[in-house]
Amino acid sequence: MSISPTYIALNRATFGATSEELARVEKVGWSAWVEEQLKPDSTVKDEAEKRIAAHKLEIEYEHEGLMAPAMMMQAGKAGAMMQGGKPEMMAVEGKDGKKAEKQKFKVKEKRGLTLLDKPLDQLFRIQNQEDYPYKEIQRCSYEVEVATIIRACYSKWQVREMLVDFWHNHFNVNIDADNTIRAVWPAYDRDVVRKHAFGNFRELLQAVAQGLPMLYYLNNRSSKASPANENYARELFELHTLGAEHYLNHLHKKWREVPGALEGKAEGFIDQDVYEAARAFTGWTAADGEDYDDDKHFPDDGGFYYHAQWHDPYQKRVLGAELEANQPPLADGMAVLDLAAFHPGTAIYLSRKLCRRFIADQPSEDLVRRVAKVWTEHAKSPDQIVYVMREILLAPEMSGAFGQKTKRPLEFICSFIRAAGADVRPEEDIIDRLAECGQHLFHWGPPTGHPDTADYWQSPNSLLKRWKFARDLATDGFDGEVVRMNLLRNTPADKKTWQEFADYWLDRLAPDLLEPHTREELTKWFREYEDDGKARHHEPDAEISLNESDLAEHLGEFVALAAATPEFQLR
Amino acid sequence: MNRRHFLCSSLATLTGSRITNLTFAADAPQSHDHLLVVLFLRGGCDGLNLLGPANDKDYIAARPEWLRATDAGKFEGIALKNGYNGIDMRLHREAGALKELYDSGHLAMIHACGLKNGSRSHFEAQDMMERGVTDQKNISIASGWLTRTIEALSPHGLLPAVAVGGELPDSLLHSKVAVSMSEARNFTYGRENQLALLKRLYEGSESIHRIGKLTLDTITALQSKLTRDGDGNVQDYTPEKGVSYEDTGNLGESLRNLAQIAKMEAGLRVATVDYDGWDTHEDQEYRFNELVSEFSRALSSFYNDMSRFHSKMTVVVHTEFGRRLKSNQSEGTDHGYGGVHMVLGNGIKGGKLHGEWRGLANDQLDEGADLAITTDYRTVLTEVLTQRVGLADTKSIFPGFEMKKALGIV
Repeated sequence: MSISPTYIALNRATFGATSEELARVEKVGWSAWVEEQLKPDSTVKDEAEKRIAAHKLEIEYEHEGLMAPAMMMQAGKAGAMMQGGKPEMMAVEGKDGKKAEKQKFKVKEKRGLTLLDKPLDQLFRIQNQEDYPYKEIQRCSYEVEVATIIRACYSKWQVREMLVDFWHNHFNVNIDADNTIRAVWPAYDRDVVRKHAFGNFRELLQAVAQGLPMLYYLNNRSSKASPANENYARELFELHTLGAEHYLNHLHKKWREVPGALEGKAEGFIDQDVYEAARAFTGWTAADGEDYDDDKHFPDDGGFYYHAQWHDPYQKRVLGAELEANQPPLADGMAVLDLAAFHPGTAIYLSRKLCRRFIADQPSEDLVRRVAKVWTEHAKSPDQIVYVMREILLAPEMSGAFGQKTKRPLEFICSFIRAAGADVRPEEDIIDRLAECGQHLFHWGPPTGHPDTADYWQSPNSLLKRWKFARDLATDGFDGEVVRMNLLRNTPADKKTWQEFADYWLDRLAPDLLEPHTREELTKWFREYEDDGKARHHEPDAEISLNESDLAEHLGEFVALAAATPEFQLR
Repeated sequence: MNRRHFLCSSLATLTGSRITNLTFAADAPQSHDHLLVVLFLRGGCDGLNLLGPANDKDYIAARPEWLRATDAGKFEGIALKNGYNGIDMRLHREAGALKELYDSGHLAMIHACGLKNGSRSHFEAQDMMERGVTDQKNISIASGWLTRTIEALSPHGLLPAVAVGGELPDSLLHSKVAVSMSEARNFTYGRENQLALLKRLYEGSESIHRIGKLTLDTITALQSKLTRDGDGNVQDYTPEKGVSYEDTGNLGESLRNLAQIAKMEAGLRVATVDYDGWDTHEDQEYRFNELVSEFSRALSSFYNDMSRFHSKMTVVVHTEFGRRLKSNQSEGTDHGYGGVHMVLGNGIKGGKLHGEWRGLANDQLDEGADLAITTDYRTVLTEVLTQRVGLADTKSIFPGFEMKKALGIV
């Protein structure tokens, strides 16, 4: 198999190479393309943003409450402007002072993606009203799911979208863990993950740690002295920073035996570090308006809140470093974030994970060390991740041997949509089908995030379901409002014969990716059109004489089969 | 070096034997068709909330009543016969369905059981358990313990191993025959000529080819086994009379799908089902109620649905660890150590708590904090594999593990 290095690199850096993008890279050169990708110009309204602006999603539910949901939304916004006003108080009483009676409201409409730009406090307060409809809360995260797929398919800034996907998985949050997470999800995706995707890791780490979704998902919001809740502290070390490879469990509680610990620079972490770090984060909670001490309540802007009363102020030892007792507010937690973010183990762990995402399941140690060196050199740069990504994308390994990655379902289906030039306007069905393939966006249960190696994704269930997903996309298996494959319209008018059709579509979907044997078999299948259960063989040079709908269906099945080839499952 | 090859050769070195060379015990019962079902409670099920010593003073001191099985009041647990010498061990009040299985004599439970490694990390603990090792350094070189079990069984059926309801768990890592699926009837693709084409395309030798071929062969096998009406349409699966999976959630759905697959008589020997959500660091009372209720009812429905198979099926229930004796301030519990494991089947010495219960006083705890493990989970599995599933020994399944004394579960 001779696949061009540019194609291999492009296919790995994006949600799938397209012939247009490939031509562009060949024109400007790989390093120029990389530089452009590393500095996305967000003032340019690209295809994805245009689609998001025009996107309409249905919402339908019945609601029983004091006022119409649209009014509740306004009341919630007003509450947000009043800075801490309790919106539900505004409507409990009717005109005559009596308690108003609940009414039934029906909502059924097609609505644009109106929540993606809403500020955090509005998102939080709107849902924080009594009886606020569940469908409206769910809508918040639903819009992000839809926008994520649109951007993966159509964004010009493909490397950014890949990175955003990486960070969402690295700092996995299951939005099912709490409705409040769903409600603020647009703000978290925008102001935490996207904002810092190309930024500085230490800053990203803190933004995540102090974001309501992580505070809820790993329970730190309720962690107080004592005993503290260890959930966040453990995953901070094991998954977010040092990684399980630096969990020195065999040393148990013998912290003195951890290499480097006596110099305040422990090489890895043990359970005691988890216990101590958990104490350091006690009192780090969310401004979610919750009551405490019977009559008081936290602010309700949906942001971070430090509640000193819950904090365990006494001395702690984390990774061999001593934290004095009675530090100023937040200092304990900040110190732990510093220790974890700037730990040499974190540089290695994160570099390996990024290389695994972009290059190969088992990246070479040499590559990992090179990337980790850049990671460490720029540990304090505001655009640390730009340097790191440049090192990865320009590494010779980026265009190394094909097939060291198995596409995850999102990459698979986006690469198909992108290469075919299909017009897909994602909604529930698309998200559900992706979930059936094993990738349910923002719904992975354990804090690991979706797996990233072939061991997991090369499984019969996932394979079969993605083949069927592609087939249903290509053969009218979805609502026509949602999916327009436009296979015939996208076939140049000068293609007339069976061979020309087959060649055009195989080149378009997978330029020089398919083995000659695969190509030959697919083409042969295409030329044997089955009519009323009888296969009819057509000569390669014969002109296609099928009617339009038969041809569209046959071509749809054909491109779906091309997407089901072994080659198309890999990157 | 090809990674897969590396894995295989290292394992062989590790175990000092060829894993495919196992011999069978001539008198092993049901060795040709016994079905082993492994149900994994992921997240670390709080064994002390599921099955607790109701009036133990250390237990009472360490947790509020809503995280205990008490002997009276709102949180009163279900008393069990044949517990640990005189201790009033009680099941969580939502586990009524488990109590029925226990009383029928088919369900055995083992408390203070688990992975003797000390890891309080979910992912490490699961990785090690599913690979059948206790040493972190063996993780990267081992296949799944069920993978090795299937290899040792060298089954001939169409569908020897299935992971139901998701992708393959690590216990089936690197299996050449295990298939993941949800519902059997949907395991199909297109017309005959499309399947034939795909089979030709997946003839290669890379792992992706192997998985693709396995998928395609499974489609053919399943389609030949599904029950059809006169017009050739696949019929809906109907559980045994009187059995309902209603309100048993995702677990019930997976187990229902499993029952259908098992009854197709396609040679199923090993099946895995996962049940997530046991990581109850916060608001445990509410969540645990739901989990225990759903788990108990789903397991019971499945067992009743499989009534014809009780003597030739064993269900094993695992979790990666139990939870801390002392609860935290979030009304939950953090990662602990010993937990509850279960074995279910006709012929199991059920209706009894197996293993050793030492108590919850400070000096009886592991690291002064968690329920100490008195039974290595592999002791349970070894008994099941040799006495039920039909392996002569488990040397290649659990390399380096020597069972000190059988519990007498079978």
